[in-house]
Amino acid sequence: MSTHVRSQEEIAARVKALESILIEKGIMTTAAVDRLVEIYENEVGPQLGAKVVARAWTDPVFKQRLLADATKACADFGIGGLQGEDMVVVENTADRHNVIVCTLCSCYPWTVLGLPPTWYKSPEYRARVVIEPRTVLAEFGVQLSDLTEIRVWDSNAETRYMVLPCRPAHTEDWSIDDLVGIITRDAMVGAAIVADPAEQQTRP
Amino acid sequence: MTRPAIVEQLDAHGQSAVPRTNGELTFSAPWEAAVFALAVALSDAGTFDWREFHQQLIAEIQRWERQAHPAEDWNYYQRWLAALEYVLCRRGLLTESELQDRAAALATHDHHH
Repeated sequence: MSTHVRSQEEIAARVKALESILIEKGIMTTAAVDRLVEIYENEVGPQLGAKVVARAWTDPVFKQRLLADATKACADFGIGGLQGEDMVVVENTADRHNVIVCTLCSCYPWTVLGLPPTWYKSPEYRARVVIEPRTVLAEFGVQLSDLTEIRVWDSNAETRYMVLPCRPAHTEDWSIDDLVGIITRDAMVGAAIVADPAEQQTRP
Repeated sequence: MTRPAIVEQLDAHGQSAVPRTNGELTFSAPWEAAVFALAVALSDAGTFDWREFHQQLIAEIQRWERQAHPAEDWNYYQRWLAALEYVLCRRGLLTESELQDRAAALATHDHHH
């Protein structure tokens, strides 16, 4: 095996070569590749997961269905198309905080959160969050009481997880759209909590 | 259901118009987007099974992590590229020399412009 370290330009050239060979052989079309890039860069993203969470916060029947069978509940929402995996939604409560990881690679609930952030794919996060979740979460700014149980969910080829964060106080009269505005990607991974708006400066 | 069909369904509800929050760029270079899309599109087209690719991705990531002193910096989509090349070569759809020749040809072509 070569020890040559490829530059970014060389890698880019290699991908371009790969794409051109596959198109020439009729295995792939430019349109199919462009369409997928468009979908994942601009269309699928955490705003979809935020809608699912806001609905669960405001509709107890939907929340029950979501926790019982997230794949089905999300399909009803028009969200589907994972690579054959099941979706499982885990609920944060006053006593339990959930956080997701994929220790082997970087499985992630694409269809509700888009593509994972860089830190989620890093070897450091993948190795450390299972060993010392409380410390890692504190580094993310999530300070949990020692009484709060932390559960780490390791995604795999069969199952992808999403966290249902706790609904913050002082949002009782908020509309779904207002709620969607405060639900962050990191909160749905478990690397953040949704802040109490009374402790923030402004309402969205 | 194919992914474009899903997105069309979402478009119908106007959901794709919602701006992205948490604004990290999805891909840090165009080649990352291209290699990501290639793997998903090839799996969608049935060229290979997603799980076959997924298993190889895990293997490539482990190979990088097991090095005591990695020569290359960590880059997730570079592991993705290695897995994709491996699966395509194993299925006889691509050869290493074919890939190298084409990359060299494209580089020469670019330099002429």
